[in-house]
Amino acid sequence: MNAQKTKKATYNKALLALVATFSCFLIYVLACVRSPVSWSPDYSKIAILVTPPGDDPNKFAIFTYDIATGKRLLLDEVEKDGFLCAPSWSPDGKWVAYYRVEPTGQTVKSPSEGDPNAGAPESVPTAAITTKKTDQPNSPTAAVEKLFSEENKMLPPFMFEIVKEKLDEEDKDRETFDVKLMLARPDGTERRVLRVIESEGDENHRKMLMLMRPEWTKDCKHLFYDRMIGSSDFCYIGSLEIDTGKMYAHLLDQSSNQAAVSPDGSWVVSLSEAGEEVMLTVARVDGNFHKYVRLALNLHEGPPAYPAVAWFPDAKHLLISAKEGFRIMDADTGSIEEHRDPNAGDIAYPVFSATGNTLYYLAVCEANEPNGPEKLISLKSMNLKDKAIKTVFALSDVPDLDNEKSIFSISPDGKRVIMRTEIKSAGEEDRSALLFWDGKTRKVVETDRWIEKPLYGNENLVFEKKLIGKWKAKDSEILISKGTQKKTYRIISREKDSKEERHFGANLVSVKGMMFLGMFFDESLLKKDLYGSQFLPNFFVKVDQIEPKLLLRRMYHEEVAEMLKKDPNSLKQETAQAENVLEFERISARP
Amino acid sequence: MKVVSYIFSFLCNQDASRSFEIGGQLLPFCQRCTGVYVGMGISFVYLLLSDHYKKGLPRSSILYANIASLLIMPVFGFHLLDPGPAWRFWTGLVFGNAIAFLILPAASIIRKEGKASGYHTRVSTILFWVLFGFLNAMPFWFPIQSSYFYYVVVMVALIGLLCLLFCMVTITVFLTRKIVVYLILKGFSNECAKN
Repeated sequence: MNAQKTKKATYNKALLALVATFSCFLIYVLACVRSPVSWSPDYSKIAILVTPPGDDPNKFAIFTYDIATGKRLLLDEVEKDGFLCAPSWSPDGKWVAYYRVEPTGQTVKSPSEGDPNAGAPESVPTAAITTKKTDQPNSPTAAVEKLFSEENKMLPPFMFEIVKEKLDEEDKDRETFDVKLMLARPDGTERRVLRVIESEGDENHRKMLMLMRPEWTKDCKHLFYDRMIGSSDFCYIGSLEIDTGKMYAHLLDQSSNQAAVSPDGSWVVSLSEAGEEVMLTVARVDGNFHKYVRLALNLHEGPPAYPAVAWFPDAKHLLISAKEGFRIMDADTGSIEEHRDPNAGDIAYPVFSATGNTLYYLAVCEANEPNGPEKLISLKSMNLKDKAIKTVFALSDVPDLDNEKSIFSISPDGKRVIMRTEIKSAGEEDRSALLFWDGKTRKVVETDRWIEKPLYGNENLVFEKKLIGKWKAKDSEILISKGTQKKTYRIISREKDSKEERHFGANLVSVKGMMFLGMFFDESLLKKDLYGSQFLPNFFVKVDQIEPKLLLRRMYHEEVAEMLKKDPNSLKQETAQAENVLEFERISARP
Repeated sequence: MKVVSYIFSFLCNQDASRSFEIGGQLLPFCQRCTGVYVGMGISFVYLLLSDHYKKGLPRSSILYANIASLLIMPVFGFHLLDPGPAWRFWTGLVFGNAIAFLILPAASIIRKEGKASGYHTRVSTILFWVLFGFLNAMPFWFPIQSSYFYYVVVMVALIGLLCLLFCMVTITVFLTRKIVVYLILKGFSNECAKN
């Protein structure tokens, strides 16, 4: 009987131990899964601003891009004189933050600064705004107050007031524009306007904003932003508490360089050029401490998004990236340590590994190969404990480094380097592109077609047998044959007296009674994909006539889009007056 | 590794900034989870090899250590205190050890309906403390920067997870079967009583 009782008691104890232990484990797992995750733990995706090539882009789009699969997703876009800025992925991976300035003349309602209930973000499908000339002679102070609406956390506190007064005296006829602080889900399911921040400045200041980006604190509760006070050529760094909607002003920044927020979210730092020196401003976010340090350094000439200053993961040291090399500064004592790579001429783009043990950077050195490129770029790593430097991999076939628009980025796991730049396409035209290196492969992804909208679809595709053959013009000849895909052509063009051939794939398209050849630099681009890329040719050729003579004229995507909007009657006249028409005579009906 | 990463995505936040990087590769679980699953893996292997789990629940000294190890987790696991990677790993290790030392013997007893084979001796108690000491010392040298070590850690963590799942599945199947049999017998006796 006793044995039976003991067995039962042991059984009950075991059951209790089992339930208690399993409950503890379950609670732990739930707590662990619920706590914040970092974005893309495998760094497989990027969020990127895509614009057409050139100094004056007229289209902006933000995409997420899966590096391995090549899948992309449009998060937001704006055209004409609107702007989007470089996106910033939240540390928990749930949001992408960016600035949006609407094209001139659009007005909408969205949570503005004065709205006390604007703390929690609301969904706004499309939205506001403006570029406007504020002319308020009777209430200049109110206009300035609108520009300085944050709670002042600057030190000394009167600094804020001095700038306000200066601005008030300076120019009462100031140009302002509204900047929307936006959030978008990386899966494209939601887009929100967090705040509309009135900023001041002209066209150039608006363009400057395109190169900046908001910055998250690690807990994803605050977003730091730049507010342009353009006419005085400075901006100040503010922060928005996302839950409560409270806004604070932290420090003045003269050069609009990217500010850096410490990993614990309690410090913000900014670098600005002061004559031949650099001014480093370190401020506590709560406004209890400010420090200004003058440094004899030369900063790299790059866009503001270039990481000139970054916090160490310990939140106690700062890494300053200058032309002379890296400087590590103790934020408490101000002592500075110099770091150079003895084997590199120039080092840049520092990134800390997720664990904080390693610093990755790009090093440029003179190449020794007589037939190779002059400079060699390598991804290097420095162990922060023993300062040991290793080459992770060298970057092969790097395009023109002197191109000011080129910008690099290193993934924090030190496995990939991305370069955003302009390259020459097969047609010798500038194309925006992303280049990826992972030590084994180099991948080039042209992005211009991402932001173009197809001007035709499957229903517009036609096939004219008459086009097939060999055609001769004054200075060139073309060979048109049937392509590998249905309703496609293969075209080979050759200049007279030249052996060099250019190969294209093409579609023949009939839209609004006009015929176009949609020309693709590569026949493989005609293959059907998720994004309708098979309907996005690299350029168009308008076919004015096929017989008796083939009349062709080259056109860009925008020109065709413009043409399709016009009245068909006026187009007939335009066609008759066109100057750049090439006249081809048939040599043979066979290709 | 993608499969392992996918499996652990249901169990861990996989915060890269709080995960160990071994031989240039990031572990697919955070530092605390590394401790939990490695601690469970090592302890399960020890218990299975030594057969000590068959001797019933551990002695009271070990039991108290296990309970204390479980109680550590609310303090550190919920970030009430977070002194750094080594501490995160350590709390995980002792927590994982406690889970294994309680769940495997408990599962064995339940499976055998309260019957334990043999008794815990002084040697088994000493061996537990040696193992416990080893686990406590691990944060001082962990991790070794080698790609082989990376795979060893992932393997041990997988063993820990699989052993835990095996225990839970065995107990669930056993208890379900017992309940079903009980209900059938009850139904059968009710029928007999009616007749």
